[in-house]
Amino acid sequence: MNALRLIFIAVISVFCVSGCAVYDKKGIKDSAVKFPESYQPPRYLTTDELIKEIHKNNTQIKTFKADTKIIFKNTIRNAGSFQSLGKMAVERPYKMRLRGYNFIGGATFDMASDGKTFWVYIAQEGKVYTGSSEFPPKSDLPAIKIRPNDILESVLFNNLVSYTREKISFYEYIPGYYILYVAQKSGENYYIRKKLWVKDTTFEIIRHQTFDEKRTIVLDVLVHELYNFKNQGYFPKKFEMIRPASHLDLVIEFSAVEPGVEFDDKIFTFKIPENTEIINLD
Amino acid sequence: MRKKLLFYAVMFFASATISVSEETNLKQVTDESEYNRIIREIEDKREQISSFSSEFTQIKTIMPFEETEKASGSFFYKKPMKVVWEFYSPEKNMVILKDKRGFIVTPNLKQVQVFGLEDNNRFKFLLAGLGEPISSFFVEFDVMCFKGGEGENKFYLFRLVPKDTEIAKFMESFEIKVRYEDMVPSFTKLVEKTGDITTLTFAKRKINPAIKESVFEYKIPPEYEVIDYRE
Repeated sequence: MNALRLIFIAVISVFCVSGCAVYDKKGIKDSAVKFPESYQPPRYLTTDELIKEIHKNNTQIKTFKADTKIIFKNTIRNAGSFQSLGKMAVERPYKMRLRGYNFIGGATFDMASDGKTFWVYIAQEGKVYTGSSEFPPKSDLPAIKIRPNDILESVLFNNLVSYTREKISFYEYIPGYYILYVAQKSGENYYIRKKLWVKDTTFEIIRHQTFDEKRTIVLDVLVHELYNFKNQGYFPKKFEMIRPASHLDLVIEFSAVEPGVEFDDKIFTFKIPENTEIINLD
Repeated sequence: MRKKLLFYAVMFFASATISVSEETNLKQVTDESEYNRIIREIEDKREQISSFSSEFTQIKTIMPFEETEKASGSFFYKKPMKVVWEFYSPEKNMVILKDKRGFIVTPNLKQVQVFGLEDNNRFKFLLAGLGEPISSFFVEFDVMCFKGGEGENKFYLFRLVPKDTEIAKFMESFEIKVRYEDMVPSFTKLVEKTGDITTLTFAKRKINPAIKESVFEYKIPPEYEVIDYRE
């Protein structure tokens, strides 16, 4: 039986070797595989070099103004979705104004943050929710499903900058992408605070997740399209942000994006209308 | 949910019916009998209206950005209670009132919101000045009436400030301009609590045009999400 097995292996081996030889003789070589001209094979990077490239390509825009289209989806089945147009102004790191409106139905919401305090005004309820700007929020109160800093984090990667400076980072590589992990210490152990998917040739961030100390996802952001502003790097054109705890799936699409706008600080402060109920979330 | 529908209804009507506060040479109607006569004239004319069609242009100023956005579309009404309010630009959207039901159609979301007109009486305000007396809408507001213009351009202007606390939560004021020639709302101006200002101008207005029934027919595509507020 052993002799038969040896003969079988020998025959298969000869067949394979000769087959490979024939394949080679047909003249198919590595040079026949054509890559796009823009393609540059990834080079080995240290974690610090990778973080530096990510910052360089994704966090250079200091201010911008844009038109938005926002689709709110409740992830609980059959809970419906809602669309709002909007105007947005942002100044890094934590100043923001987002005014929602519709042509049928008028104003929908007004969201502002002056860097210390945020306000979320729901027009049809005549209520304004306010509290300190903090990401992630101390608690995920059901009264409000999204805060200005959730959006700022999705667009500006503010916490990526601070996390990667202060925390432990490492990455793994899969063909086409770097996956960067940012770990934070909690007690004796470290836990993953951030996870980013980054294209290996352009360093565009195409997805990033934020976790809390309980290791559950606080925010999951998928970038569908990007603008590339010369000398200022990439900026999301369309992205989806999911907050599992709030059952919220938000798709934001930007148009008429204007980087480098100088804003009057007044635009980031919300003036509470008369007869408005104020709900402090702190 | 009722509150949300009320919001839509009032905002819709307000943006559907007004815009004139910048008008000069307005003379306030302070005499009650004259005011009642004007309301009666509008109501007499309304009773003669069996159908109405118009094109509209809506200009919205978004605060604090102070930027304007323009939209346009068409409006169709047919007695007793059929309305199609269709936006062509910047996005296609539509509101339909028919057979005691209302539909808000959002093609971009592949979504239709359905509500009952009987359950939400306030949606009947969409018919104010057409299917319903305009004065029935005024009940919710403190109303000032002005008259202005001359000859063919003569008009009445109603300036409304909400006294109802629910409406006052989101609306500062709105104005309705009614042209003397046909006594149908021709221009509106809405000021919201956010500071947003929405003006709406009706052009190519036709009183009692022939409108096919098919204009008011709408079949919900099977792939659309249906949110039924009546359930």
